[in-house]
Amino acid sequence: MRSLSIALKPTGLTYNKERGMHGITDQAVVNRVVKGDVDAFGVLVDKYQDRIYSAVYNYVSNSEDAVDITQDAFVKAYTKLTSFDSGSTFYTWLYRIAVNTAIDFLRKRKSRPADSLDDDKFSEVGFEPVSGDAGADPVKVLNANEQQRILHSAIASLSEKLKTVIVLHDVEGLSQEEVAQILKVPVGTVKSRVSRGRAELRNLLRKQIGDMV
Amino acid sequence: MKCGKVTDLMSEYIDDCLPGSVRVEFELHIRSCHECSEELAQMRDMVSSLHSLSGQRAPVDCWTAVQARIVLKESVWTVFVRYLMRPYVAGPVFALGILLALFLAWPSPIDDSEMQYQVHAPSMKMTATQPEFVQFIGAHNRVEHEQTYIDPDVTFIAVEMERVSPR
Repeated sequence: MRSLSIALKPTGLTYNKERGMHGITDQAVVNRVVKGDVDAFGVLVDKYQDRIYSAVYNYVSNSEDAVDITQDAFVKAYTKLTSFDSGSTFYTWLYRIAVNTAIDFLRKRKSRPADSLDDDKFSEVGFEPVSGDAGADPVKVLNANEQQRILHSAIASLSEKLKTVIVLHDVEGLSQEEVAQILKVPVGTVKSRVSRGRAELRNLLRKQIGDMV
Repeated sequence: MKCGKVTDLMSEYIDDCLPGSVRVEFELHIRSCHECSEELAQMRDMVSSLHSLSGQRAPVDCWTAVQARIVLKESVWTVFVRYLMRPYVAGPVFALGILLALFLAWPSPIDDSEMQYQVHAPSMKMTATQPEFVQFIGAHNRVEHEQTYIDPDVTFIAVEMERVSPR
């Protein structure tokens, strides 16, 4: 594992990837970056890359695209960092940038029919081992992979708005308040979208499983 | 509570968002209705399966790529600024800037007749070569000489009347 150690001289704080954060708030790191310390942004990237990647991966159902979108989101966040409102939380702001980048990506892909074939869309899903354990039961792994593939396929069929709340709330486990903050909509709107999204997803899954049987 | 209402409230029940009294009613119905109970169990399974999709780890170290792109972006800008700051680039650019400023600030010679046209007939799209325009200016000047106070509206009406029935 790559060791990242960044000295934040004025405050005397250090960040080490293995040891974790030591009293550094996101806002303190953001302030350092805004003052010109580019390397300090690495702290934020290391801290949030897995969460952002996971959300984006479940949104676009493709690992390579998810990596590109995640990197794009971080670069956009860096360039817009001066406009970050210190009154809001950094990760909800970052999620908003990532979600918007993913939405833009899917819209562009839709406008290019050759790139949006279902075979390409889900080519990767189903071949990634769920467990890294070499001794894992292959039947269980296959079943889990099949379940993932079906779920991703159903999520991909949802409308943009419903897909966003389902991924953020049900998959990534963010609270309804956090999702509302990310999407800049009232909590009531998130509640109703979650409810509609689940109902639609249940119907889609029933249909898919019915087709398989 | 009926089955339809229970189905509508299922999502909120799973998220523990139902108020006390509604929750009690909901649970009473679930205990007595096998279909709704099954439906709730399926919905719970689905939500739990969805949550199992989380926790994906980025397969690559994002910071290396992000850092490269940030440095590249910054370096392009820095190189551009440094290039501009070189004396043999900055000198001509500065001189060009001064010339442009002088050119923009220099008073331009404007034809009086054009000014008159712009003031008195701003809404009429006519050029000096059109006979209508010549007629308009001629009539306008005659009307203007007859008045001590030039009211644009009165002038315009008078001009239009003259155009319709010339003297």
